[in-house]
Order: sequence, then structure tokens, then C-alpha cells
Amino acid sequence: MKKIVVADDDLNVRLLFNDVLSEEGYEVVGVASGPEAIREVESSSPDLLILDIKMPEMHGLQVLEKVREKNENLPVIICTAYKHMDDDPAVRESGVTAYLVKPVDINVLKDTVKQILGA
Amino acid sequence: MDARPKILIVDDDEGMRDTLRDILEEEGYMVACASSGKQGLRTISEEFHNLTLIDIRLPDMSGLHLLEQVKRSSPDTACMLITGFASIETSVEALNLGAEAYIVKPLNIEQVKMSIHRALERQSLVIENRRLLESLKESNEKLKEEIRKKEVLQTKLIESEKLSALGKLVAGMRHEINNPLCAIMGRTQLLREAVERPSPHPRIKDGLDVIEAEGRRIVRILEYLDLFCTPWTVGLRAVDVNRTIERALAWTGNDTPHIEVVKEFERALPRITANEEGLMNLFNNLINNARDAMRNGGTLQISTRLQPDERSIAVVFRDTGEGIPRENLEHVFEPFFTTRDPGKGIGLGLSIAYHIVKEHGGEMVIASEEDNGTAFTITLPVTRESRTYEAQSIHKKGETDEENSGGRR
Repeated sequence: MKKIVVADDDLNVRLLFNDVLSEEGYEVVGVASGPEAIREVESSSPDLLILDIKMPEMHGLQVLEKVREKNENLPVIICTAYKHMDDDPAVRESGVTAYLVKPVDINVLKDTVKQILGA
Repeated sequence: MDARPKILIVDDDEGMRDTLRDILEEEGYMVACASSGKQGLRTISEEFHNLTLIDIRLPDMSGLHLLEQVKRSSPDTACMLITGFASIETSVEALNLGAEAYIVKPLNIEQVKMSIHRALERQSLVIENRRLLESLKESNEKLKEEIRKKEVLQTKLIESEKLSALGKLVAGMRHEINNPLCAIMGRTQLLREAVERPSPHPRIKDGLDVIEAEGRRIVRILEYLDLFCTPWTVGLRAVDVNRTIERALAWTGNDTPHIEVVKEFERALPRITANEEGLMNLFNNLINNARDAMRNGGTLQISTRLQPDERSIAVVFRDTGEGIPRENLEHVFEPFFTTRDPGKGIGLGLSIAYHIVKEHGGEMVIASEEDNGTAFTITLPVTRESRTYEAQSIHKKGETDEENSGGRR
């Protein structure tokens, strides 16, 4: 079973992603902060990381940078409130695989994950 | 250009003219001569003369008349009258018309030289004085303009600071509201799917619970934001801060059984002009903040005192809690800044507290050390109105006492 790590400081957002994605047959682990996400990626080698961009302690892009240091190939989806994220060169150059705009349409979420991980 | 003082002698007596000219040229002055009033006026109009010596009796007009004319056309020119006899009336009139002095024939040379010297000195002082006054006026105008410009800049700066603070608030607000919305929208989608299925899915109840809770969360966020928009400068009354703190403690009392509260209130603390609801909010926030810092118990010390300058009061909230790390200290009053676990408060309490203090014209500062507790010091002004209130109430009290004791004899 493919494993997905969901990093978001909001409990209800994590639960939502968990419910949607586990029904699709994925194993989902939720973490509440950037440092926790880095630790989890390192210890359990997931197949996908879904990362909220605005978290306390560490900005999403910083987390991405740190994760990329050890793991160039891990697919990462960034979640953000801002529609025009791809206008930001910092985002484009960060090595993000895809990004989702919050509030997330659960069908878009399912499709994006399926595209990256396969069925 | 010749800087020597120029003197004009107006006298129809050639001998007198020559004598005076020799004496004055020897003194280093530039001397011109005229033998009639008309000639004298013409010379004055062609070139500025520092001083004129006018004989009282001229062929075409009286010396006094010439004096008048010269003063009119060249007010800065010093004039001295030469008279053959010391008639008091003439002399007084000459002085009234603006003559510096009069000299009496036969001339006392030394006196003449001294009078001229004094007259020229005075003239140069008057001219210098005028120049200085004008230059002072000019620089005053320039200063006023600079101050005006600075005031405009300052207003713009304050506006832009307010806008930037507002911008930060809005950005934080967006993030805070977007998360509950994310849960609500996602759950609504899942509910629609669940509703299609034949048998009731547990997800329906879960979904509805989440939607309701998140909706309430947004309501609370908006209520907090209301506290920012509320004008705290209306509904002002004379407030007894000690009493307000007591009320806040009673309000939050049940939430803080594990905390010991120590009060050190200054007795007869003057009332301050304030919005009492705003102060309640402020103190509630600080009490809650202390409670959160001392989850395993501790002491909250609240003290009030009148400042030595008697123009403000100081209120200190000191806890023995976990303290705040130095790198967070400067962010403590920012909206949405919180170190609590996610879901346990959105970090608006202290920024609202700060806002209310500023609206009342006061200041709030924080001192903290990790594991050593935190102290919030708030200063609030005792305004003129409340000081008057105090004076009136003391005065009234005095009157009552007098009445009761049968008045003074």
C-alpha cells in the first residue's frame, strides 16, 4: 500500500485528507508541523508528502528544501490558500510536484494523488 | 565701492560749508555740499547719504521743512540741524520731526564730531536691526514650512504603519478562516456522496459535527475581530481600575483554581477615564494568558500603583509560568501569533489587549525569561477630566464634613 504523509497544523484538515485518501486505498499518516514532517519522511520513507505552506515554526517551502536535501525524488504536493502560487518563482524553483488550492476540492485531491502515485 | 559714510552739508553760507567739509573729510567721511534746500533734496535722491547737516535758515525753504522732506524720502538718513540760536521751540520741533540732534553756532568742533559719530553709530544699529529682523522672519517662515512638511510626512507614516498592521491582520485572518472552510467544504462533498448511499453512513453524523464545530470557530474568530474594530474611545467613564480587576478575576475565577492570585492594589488609586468593557477585556486576556503559562499551577501577582509623576497609573500582571523565549518576545503582541498547540486559541488575545491599551492612550510592555515567568506592565493615563472628577469629589466630601460638624467659625 502506498504511503502518504499529510503535514498541516489544522487537525480537521488532516482528518479530512485522511478520510478521503484512506478510502482510496492509501495509508495516511498525519503530522502537525514542519519538523515533524521532516522526521516522519526520514524515518518511514513515504511515497508522497502533502505539505501545507503556512505552518508555525517552519514555512512550507523551508520544509520542502530540507526534505529535498535528503530525498530528491519524493513527490511533494503543496497546499496553499493562494491561487497564484505558480507566479512565485520561489515556488517554481523549489521542486514542488504539484500544488492544491485550499479549500481543496476532494475530487481534485483524489485525481492529483492518483496521477502522482498511480491507482 | 566706497564704504565710507556719506555726509551732505546743506548750508548757503560758503564759509560754514567749507569749514565743516574740511573737518569731516579729515575724520574720514565722504562729504557733499548743497547750498539750497532743492539742491539738497536732489543730491539725496541721486544717492543715499548716511547723514545730512541742515542749516535752519536756507534761501528757498526753512531747514525744518527740508528736514521733513529728507525724512520722508530717505527715512534711514540721519539728520542734524544747525541753528544760530538755541531756540527751544525750534529744537524741540526738529527733534519731533526726526532729527538726531541739533548743533548750535558758533560750533564746538569736538561736540560736532561726537554728535555725528553717535548719530552714524545709531543709524548703523537701526539698519542692522532691521536686517536681522527680516532675516529672522524669513527663517521663521522656512521653519514653519518644514514643520508643516514633517507633520504631513508623519501623518502619512502613521497611516502606512496602520495599513501595514492591517495587512498583517488580514493575512493572518485569511489563513485562520481558510482552514475551517477547508474542513467544511471537504466534509460537505463527502456528505453528498454519503447521502447517495442506501444505508446511513456514519460519515454523515461525523461530517455534520465537523461542519457545525468549524462554523462556530469562524464565528468566534469574527467576534475577536470585532474587538479590534470596536472604538474603545467612546463610552468613557471614570473607572476604578482596582474594582475592574476584581471583576475580571471573578469572571475568570472558575477557570483558575490551581493558581494563587496575589493582589497588591494601591489604596485610593485615582480613577482613570476609560471604557470599562475594554478594560475588562484587557484584564481577562491577561489573566487567561497567565493561566495558560502556568498549567501546572503557580502564582499570579497583580499590582496597581500611581506613578510618581501622578500623571498615569501602572498595572502589573506577573506570573511564575513557563516564560517566553527571547526570539518570540517581539512577536507577542502580533495578531495570530501563538505558541499554543494548534486548535487551542488563535493568538489574538494579546494583540487585542495591546490594541485596547493603545486606544486608551497607554503603553504595554512585556518582560519575560524562560522558566522564570512573565510580567506585563500597563500604564494608563490619568487624564485631566478624571483628575477634575477626583478634585470635585474630594471637595464635595469636604463640604459634607463641614455641614456635619456644624461649619467653621
